[in-house]
Amino acid sequence: MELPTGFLEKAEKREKKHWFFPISFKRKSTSGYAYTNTRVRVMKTKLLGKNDFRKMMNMSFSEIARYMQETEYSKEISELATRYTNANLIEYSLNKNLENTFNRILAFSMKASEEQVKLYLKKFDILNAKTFLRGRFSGQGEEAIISQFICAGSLGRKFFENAVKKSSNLDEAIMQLKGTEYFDIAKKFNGNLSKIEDALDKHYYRDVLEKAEPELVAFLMDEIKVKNTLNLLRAKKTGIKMEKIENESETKLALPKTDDGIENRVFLKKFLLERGNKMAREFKRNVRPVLGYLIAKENEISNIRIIVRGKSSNLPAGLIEEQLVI
Amino acid sequence: MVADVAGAINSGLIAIGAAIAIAGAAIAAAWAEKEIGTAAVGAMAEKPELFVSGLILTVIPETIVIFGLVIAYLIVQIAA
Repeated sequence: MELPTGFLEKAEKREKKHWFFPISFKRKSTSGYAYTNTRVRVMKTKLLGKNDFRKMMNMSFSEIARYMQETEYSKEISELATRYTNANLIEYSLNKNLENTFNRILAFSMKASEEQVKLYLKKFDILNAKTFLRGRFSGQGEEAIISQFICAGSLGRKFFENAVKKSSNLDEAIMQLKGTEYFDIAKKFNGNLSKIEDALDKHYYRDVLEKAEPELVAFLMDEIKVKNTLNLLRAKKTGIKMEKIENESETKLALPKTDDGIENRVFLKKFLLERGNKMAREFKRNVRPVLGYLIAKENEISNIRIIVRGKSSNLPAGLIEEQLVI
Repeated sequence: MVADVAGAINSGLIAIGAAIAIAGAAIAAAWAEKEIGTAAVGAMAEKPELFVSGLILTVIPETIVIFGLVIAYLIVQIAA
């Protein structure tokens, strides 16, 4: 995806205040940020640290589940313990916890902060729509598709569960998206899944960049750069020539290694995480501290997932640790 | 008659000066307390044990009003 241009300038122009009357009427009141940002900053102190991940590396699945029960994951682990065991229990409770946490943030954020968080969390609508379409395309079972949903966006769990139940193939799945903004996009490509997924991603970024505050726009630009660089790495691995994009240095980040190694992926994730940590420490009336927390939380979940998946496929501890972003 | 009017205007201006001193300080304190208070409530919602420190931090800007009060008192005293 080419780097969208002009959005940052547009967002800054939208926010521009009058020289005499320094209040922007186009933006909602910023007083909600003091509450939301501090609450989120406290939530960030409860995230798992380096030592927790190292301890988990030496535990069995049941021990990890028990360990997680003593942390912020206790509700989800107890809820799902009757239905799942071992790696599945941890995996599903991670998804559920992410969904619950992000919905909670959305519930307590207010005014301008709510608007911006909602915009960012829209990415889960896209993610769910892609999971749904991909699941129906590859013929996965209902239960398998439903368990992968993270319903933290504006389309609720009910919508996606109904859509899964009422469809059996990709065409029917696309029809189930009727009434949402994604229907027209999905319909355009005559069942070409990779093109639909690409178009959905582009639609998300264009839409959000159009409406977001400059701070969110700047962060999304970084996220696009990371995604572009990851895509380039993948393309290189599969042997696709992408000279045109590669020449545009604006669209990608400088990597520590030239080959597609784990180091590069960890470097890219660390780049975003460090940005997030920096943003979470800021004391400003904007959405950056919340974004910082959202990134850190997603990273925590991804780290636990790496440990669990690595353990279930019997990877050596050194290799698992290499992939952790801490 | 003229002296009476001038005296009344003088004391009126003194009172307005004192009022501005305390009103400015009070508005500033209220603004600061609003920001700190909402942040403290946010922190308390996640960690109830932060109640005492949250409460103390919330009332600290109240000292600004005391400065306002002192200035207002000095204006009235010096003018008198």
